[in-house]
This record gives sequence, structure tokens and C-alpha cells, in this order.
Amino acid sequence: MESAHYTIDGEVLRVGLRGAWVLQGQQVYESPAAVLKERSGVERVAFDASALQQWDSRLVLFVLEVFQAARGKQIDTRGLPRQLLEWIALTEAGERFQAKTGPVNFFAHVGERAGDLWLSLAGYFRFLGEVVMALVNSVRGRAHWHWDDVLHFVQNTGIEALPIVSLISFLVGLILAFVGLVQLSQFGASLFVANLVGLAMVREMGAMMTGVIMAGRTGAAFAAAIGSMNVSEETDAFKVMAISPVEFLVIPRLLGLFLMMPLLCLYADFVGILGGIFVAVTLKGLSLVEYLNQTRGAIALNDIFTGLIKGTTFGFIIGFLGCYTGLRCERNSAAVGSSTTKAVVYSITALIVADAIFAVLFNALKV
Amino acid sequence: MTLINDRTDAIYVESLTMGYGDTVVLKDVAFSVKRGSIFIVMGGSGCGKSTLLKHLIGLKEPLAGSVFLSGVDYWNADEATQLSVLRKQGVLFQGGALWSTLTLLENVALPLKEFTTLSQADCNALARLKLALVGLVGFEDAYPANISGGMKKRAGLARAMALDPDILFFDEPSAGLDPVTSRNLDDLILKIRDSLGTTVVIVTHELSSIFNIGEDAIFLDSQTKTLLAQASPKTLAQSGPQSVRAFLTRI
Repeated sequence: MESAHYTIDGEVLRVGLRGAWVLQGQQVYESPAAVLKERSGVERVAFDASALQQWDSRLVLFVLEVFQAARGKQIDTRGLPRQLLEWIALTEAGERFQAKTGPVNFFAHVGERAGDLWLSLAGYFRFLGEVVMALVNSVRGRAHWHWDDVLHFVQNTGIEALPIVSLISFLVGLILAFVGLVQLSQFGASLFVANLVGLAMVREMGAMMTGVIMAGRTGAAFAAAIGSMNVSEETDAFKVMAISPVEFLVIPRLLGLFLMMPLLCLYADFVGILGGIFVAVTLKGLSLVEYLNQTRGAIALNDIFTGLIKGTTFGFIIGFLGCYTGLRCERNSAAVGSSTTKAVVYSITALIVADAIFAVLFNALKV
Repeated sequence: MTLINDRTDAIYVESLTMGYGDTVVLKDVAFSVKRGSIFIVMGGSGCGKSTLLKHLIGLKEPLAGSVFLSGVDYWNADEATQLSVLRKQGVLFQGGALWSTLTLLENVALPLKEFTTLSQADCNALARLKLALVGLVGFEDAYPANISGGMKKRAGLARAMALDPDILFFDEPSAGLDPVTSRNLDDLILKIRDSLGTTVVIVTHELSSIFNIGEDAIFLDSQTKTLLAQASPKTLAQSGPQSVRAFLTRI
């Protein structure tokens, strides 16, 4: 049965309301706009609520729809429940402001995005400047941060990361050895797998894999921790006490990561080579002594240093981006999630770009 | 006190004991809230006002006793009944508790979308209406982070009223608001009750609100961990127990 039926009485359209007009129910009715369009002679609209049993704001919505459709015509509201009219009056009293909607211009949009891009680039440089200034202040002994915090992050980013770094590096060394042995044994040069694993771990994979782990583990944690502090105005609480959040929050994290990254890289190199030994010696039957000698011959001190330089740089990139995205986090709960994601994605991208730059650089310098 | 309590009242609470783990916060609480009245829950800090509220809105289960909401023994009802009871209640949380990733309009439209068969356009129109009711026209597309505390409360109220609740709960509605804004909110609460007949339960210790709009009130005491008195605020201020009078007259 329809919940509203329309009767034409001369030039009066009578809207009869029937049954229950409640949000939880189901209403069937012809659109008042369509009805009024069909009957052009209507001058007045009136309501009849005698068969109305129950109503809530669902009916308000319908009545307003009728009002809208009957604009310019006479509307007789006497048939409506008094409370409903009060409801509508309340609503109208609230309509003091004009809704502002501007059309979205394509060029304006492009311009805005370009402007945003420029602003975000400028933001990175500003943050870099703030970090440098904080370090300068630290050297002058005027910065607010504590070695306790640094030690906390040394443990948090370094020591607690050892198990995962061990596992990943061991597996990477193992994979390299497998892939290498398949190819090298065809030339009878199986022993050179030691060169492959050793050089690859020390120059590339040790730093890279540690970097990726740190980006996912530490960079994300930095962004989430600082981001949620930003949401709850804790960073503002630092600022109003004349404590720079960059000094108090960022420097200990950066230093902790800066100290631990080279050590973790060295450790990853070592475990990776163990992975290679595991495959070559226990599975493929190469001699352990020969393998070790071969490795020692293959790796120069230079190679180790290139790996360490990379690792340290990666550490800085990860800490920098993690803290930056955290501090720039917007003030809502979803922003913490997206700034964490950003920290990881940006870090890994930046690591690979930096690695490529290093490859060119080291090649040019012949190290 | 000659109030006749009736299980079919909007809220009827019987020998309610509540607490966390082994700590009892309040014991043996009994009161009832008449339909269409404005009911105040007051008491000093830490007396269990907010805990009581959590029991009334289905967030926390009592240690003992029962809570009847619209005649339903809430904590002994099956889940479907519980949900239908909750759907007829609206809660305005202290900070508004707006979902920060949604605009104001989306905040108000969400319960409509979930629980009615209205079309998307109708949901939005109705949500706009509710926002107009609390004076927030023009802010439909704003995010909660970008509006003031008073506006957050009003938006929270619009969301609480989305489904035309029979009972509206307010947790410290005037906390963090200036006297004028707080007064406006009180007026709005009155208007809503007068025109829609909603039962209103307010947890507060704001004296001006208590006297302005409170019709019936209970006073909770943290020392004895009991309900000290139930009467209208004016009666309590004149002839209530000594500690209640002290609270209401600031002596």
C-alpha cells in the first residue's frame, strides 16, 4: 500500500499521509515533483494526516520534498502534526549559513597539485635544515635531547633487529650461493661462488637488505610514533615549552639508527657469507678452508667500506623520512596509517635511488 | 521521595552494582527515568558518573542488578533485542567522538545508511537536515579536525540524533565549552526534547546546566559508593542531604 496518495480537488492537491512514516520502515510513494508536473492546474497544496499512525524524521524529509516541489504555490500546513512543524522550524532556524561549493577547474587543479609538489619539496629541505640546525645546537651544547633516548633507540633499532636481520641475510646468502653454484659448476668453477656471495653481500646485499628491513621495521615505527604524537598535540606541547620536537624526537632516533646501521650491515655481511658457506660446504661438498681463503682473497677492505658507507646513508634516509612523515602527519587517525605507509614506500624508493647513485659514483671512483 | 518506579519507564535501574574487576565503584543503585524528561546524573569527580553511563548505553556489563531500557532487561536480553534497543538510543560523547576520516555529513549519514532503506541521496538530505537542526549548515563537507570544540559537540549531537532516538545520552556536554556556547547547547537540548519528546539523560557537574534544564536528578557519592538522592535539582538544593546541598550551592 502506498504511504502517500494524492487527490486533486479543483486547484488543490491534497497529500494524504498513511501508516507509519519511520526511518526503519519502508515507504512507497509517487514523487511529489512528478505529480505536480503532471497536474498543471494545481495552485495549492494541503496535507491530510488523519490516517498517519507514526512518524519521525522520515516524514520530515518527505514533507520538505513536497515543499521543494511546490515552490511558488500556496502551501497549507494545517493538516500536519504540530510537532512536525516545530521540527521543520528548528531546521530552518539552523540554516543561517550558505553552503559554499566552487566548481572544480581542471587547470586550477593541476596548478594546485604543482604548487603542492613544490611545497612538499620545500618541506623536505626545510626539515633537512632543521635537522642540521638541531645538530649544530647539539654541538654547541644547547639542544634538548638525551643520550638515554639514543641508547633506547640503539637497542630498539639495533639489538632488537638482530633476529630478523640474521634470518634475512642468511637466506639471501643462501639464495646467492644456490643461484651461483648452478651456473658456476657448469664451468667447473664452483669455488668462485665464494667470490660471488662475498662480494655481493659486502658491496650490495648486506646494506640493501638491512635497509629494507629497517625501512619496514624502524622507519614505519618512527612515523607511527611521531605521527600519533602529532595527532594528540604532543608535538605542540613540546613547541610551547620551547623544546624543538626535531631535537627531542628526531635527533635521538637519527643518532640511534646512524650508530646501528653500519654495525647491522657488517653483521648482515657476515651472516650472509655464513649462508653461502652453508650451501657450498654442507650441501655441495666444497672445502671450508678453500671457501674461506677464496672469500678472503675476493673481498678487499674497500669493498667493505663501500657497503658501510651505503648502509650508513641508508640509515640516515630511513630515519629522516620516517621522522619527516611522522611530523607532517595530519590530525586524524587515518593520517597516522597513511604517513606510516608513506615512510616505508618513500624510504625503499629512496634506498634504491641512492644505491643506483652509489653504483655510478663508485664506478667513477673505481672503488 | 515518593517516586513510583516502573519497569516500562524510559530507563529503570534496579539494584545495580558496578565496578572494574574486584573494585566496586557503585553499589545497589536504583532509579528510573520518566519518558520525555531531562534527567541529570551528577556527583563529584571519580564518583562513577561515566561508569554508570557506560552501563546505560550498553558498553559495560553490570556486576549485579539489571538495567531496563525502554522496558527491556538489557543485559539479559538476546543480542538482536539488545541491538534494536541500542538503535533507539543516541549518545553524545564528551569530545564528540566524530569519526575523523569522515566529513560531518558522512558522520551523520553513516547510521542512516546502515540501518534504513533510504537511498544515498535521501540519507544525505536527512543528514543535512540533522546538521541544520544543530546549526551546522555549510559545514557538511568539513572534517572534524577542522572545526571548533563546540561545533564538534553539535555535530556529535546531530549524529546521535540521526536515527531519531527515544533516549539521548550526553556525557559532560558543557565540558570544554564557554558559558555562552554551553548555554546554547542547553537551549538546543530543551528544544529537541520539547519538539521531539526525546528522553534526555545528561551526565554533568555543571551547576548552571543542572538548574537550567534538569527536571529530575540523581546524586552519586564516591565515599559511600551509593546513590545519595533522587529529586529535582531545586528540591535537592533546598532539602537534599547535606553533601548534595553543599555540591549544588558550592559551599
